Amino acid sequence: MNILFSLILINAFLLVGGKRIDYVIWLVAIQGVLLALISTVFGFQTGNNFLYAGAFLVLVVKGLIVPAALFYIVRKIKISREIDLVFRSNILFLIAAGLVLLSYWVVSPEILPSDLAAKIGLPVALSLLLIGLLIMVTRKLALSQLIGLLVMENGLYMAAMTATHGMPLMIELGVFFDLLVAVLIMGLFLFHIDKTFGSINTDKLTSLKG
Amino acid sequence: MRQMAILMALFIPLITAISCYLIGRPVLRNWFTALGVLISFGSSLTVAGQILTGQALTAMDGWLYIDALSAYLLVIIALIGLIAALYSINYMQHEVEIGIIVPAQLATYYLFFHLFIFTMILTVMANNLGLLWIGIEATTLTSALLVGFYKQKSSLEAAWKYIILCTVGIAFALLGVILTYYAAGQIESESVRTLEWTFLLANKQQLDPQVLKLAFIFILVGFGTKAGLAPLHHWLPDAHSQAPSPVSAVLSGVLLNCALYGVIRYHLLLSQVIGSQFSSNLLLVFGLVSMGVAVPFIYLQYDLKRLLAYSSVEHMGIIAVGIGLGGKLGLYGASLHFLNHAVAKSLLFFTAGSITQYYGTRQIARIRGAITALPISGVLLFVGSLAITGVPPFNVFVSEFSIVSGGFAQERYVASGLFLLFISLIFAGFMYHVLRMVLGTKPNNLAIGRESCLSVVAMGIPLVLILVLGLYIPSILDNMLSEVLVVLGGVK
Repeated sequence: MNILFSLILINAFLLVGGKRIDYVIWLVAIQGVLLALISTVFGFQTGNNFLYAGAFLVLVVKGLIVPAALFYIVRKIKISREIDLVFRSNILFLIAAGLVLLSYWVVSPEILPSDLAAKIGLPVALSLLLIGLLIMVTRKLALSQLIGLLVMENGLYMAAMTATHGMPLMIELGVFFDLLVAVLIMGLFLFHIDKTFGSINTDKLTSLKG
Repeated sequence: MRQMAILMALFIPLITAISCYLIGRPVLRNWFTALGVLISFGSSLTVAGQILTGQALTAMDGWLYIDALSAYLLVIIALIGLIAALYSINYMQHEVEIGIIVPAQLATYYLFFHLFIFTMILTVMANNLGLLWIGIEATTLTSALLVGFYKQKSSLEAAWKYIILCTVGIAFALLGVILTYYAAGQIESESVRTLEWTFLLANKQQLDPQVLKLAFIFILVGFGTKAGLAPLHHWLPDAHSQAPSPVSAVLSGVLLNCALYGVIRYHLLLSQVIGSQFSSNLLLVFGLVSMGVAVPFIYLQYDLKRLLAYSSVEHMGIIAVGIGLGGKLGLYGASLHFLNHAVAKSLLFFTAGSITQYYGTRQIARIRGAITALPISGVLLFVGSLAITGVPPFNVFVSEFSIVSGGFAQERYVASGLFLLFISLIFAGFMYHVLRMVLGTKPNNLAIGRESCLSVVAMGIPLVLILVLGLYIPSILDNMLSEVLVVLGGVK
């Protein structure tokens, strides 16, 4: 279990500093698979059958469909090798490390006294959430903002899993459906933005002010 | 029979959406749209009538829960949906005629318009906190497509910012939902029922106050982003100015209400658990900040629709202040303000739609002599601006007066003083822009515009409400509001 938690954190760090877009998408797919694994192990430990269904959904949606959709977008738009990162990657690593420390500090044991899994998992989940946010604000391509959002969603899923042994299946299904539609709509907008602006660099999305 | 009205109020917009998309002939589609919103409005009134006679209703195996607060917002959504749909028919037809969109896009427009209404109704009817979250996220997704409808540079930018900011915001709200589920899981584990308002309220003693407090902060940030509370309002002026005008009216008039509804529900729950001090003060501060932030942007505004959008930030702040102050007067004013703001702001967005279509620009500096150029819209823009800035004898004055007198009655002089200061500053700023637009001489190269019958009807309904509600509150609305007050905890 702890190995999986460490792996997912390492994966998130690599995502923060990743330069080439297809490398980043591969990392997102791996994160989805890791999340599915954690969900399975967790289901095994707690004997909660819902978590197996959750693991399956994560594997299909986050490990397969979403990365495939991202690759499709990249190929269609033919993203040029514009520099995506705002800062150098070692600075980003430092910030990400700070965020992880912050998460461990925020989720103090007093708030969640009862559950051991929550104690280990919740800080990691919060780290993923914050790292997702970091990815969104430190990259220029609009596609990367979508990727940051996916990392945030993964963090949320993990929070739900570790703190509460998974959300009710109905709600989980609704959240997954929303996520799929969101990726679809954002992908659609990416195409339109690319067609209209000739690039998906967010530097160009700054005309509305005041 | 009771179930029937609820199901109709919820699903008629969905059915209308699908049929509008499938119908190829524009005339028939317009009829379907009009029919759909009329039936939807009728059934929402029926639901509200049932609430008035009895107590809260549940439907669909406990997934839907309608008390006075939900029913009241349901009627507002259906009403604004009705007038916005009527206004859309001519407005969008005109957009086709002047070549901004092609006729085929109309089907998509009506599909997402009605879907958008559907998701909002789902939000206010949801009993389950998770379903409420799903509903609010779905409103973002459907309305983002409407914001980016014109596919111009500016509208794509607005839609992208809107969807990204609101989805990030709402991700934090999901964390709040998860924490609530954690707190409720201590009582009865692994059941979907534990996220229902009815369950949470029934077991309020056993919920962990610390966890709920943390959850409320996440919910406030998340749904507050969607409600346009400052400093999380940055998507709002962009989205409201770039969407087609009838959609702006719906966004501003009711979408913001729906998001605020989520915050208020959670505030009510938290008040039951730890007392209202904590969340009320947060709402009060966020409300006042929103009002204050709107002031400079209204003064320096260059774009007519952005002017109206910043006014929405202000008015969401006013409602938050009313709820935060609490007490009978504050809550009464806040509940009435939901309706007052919705009708006044949709009237303004309709007039702004006609005016911008006529002048071909949203720039305040290039709009002159609107009263002579478009006699009806010009006059109504002026009347609507008087109403929205809280001038008596119009409706917004009544609710704002109620909130501020509630503040003084509780001897909270600083908050009430700031409230009055912001309102008067915004009044001056608004009048400065609006008087320049409606008076003056119209450009010579433009003929006097003609306004279509249906648009005038769509503007007439909110106009009547603005005038009537400013003079007296009809007894049926008064009964409704006192039921809403019971839900909000104003009277025991």
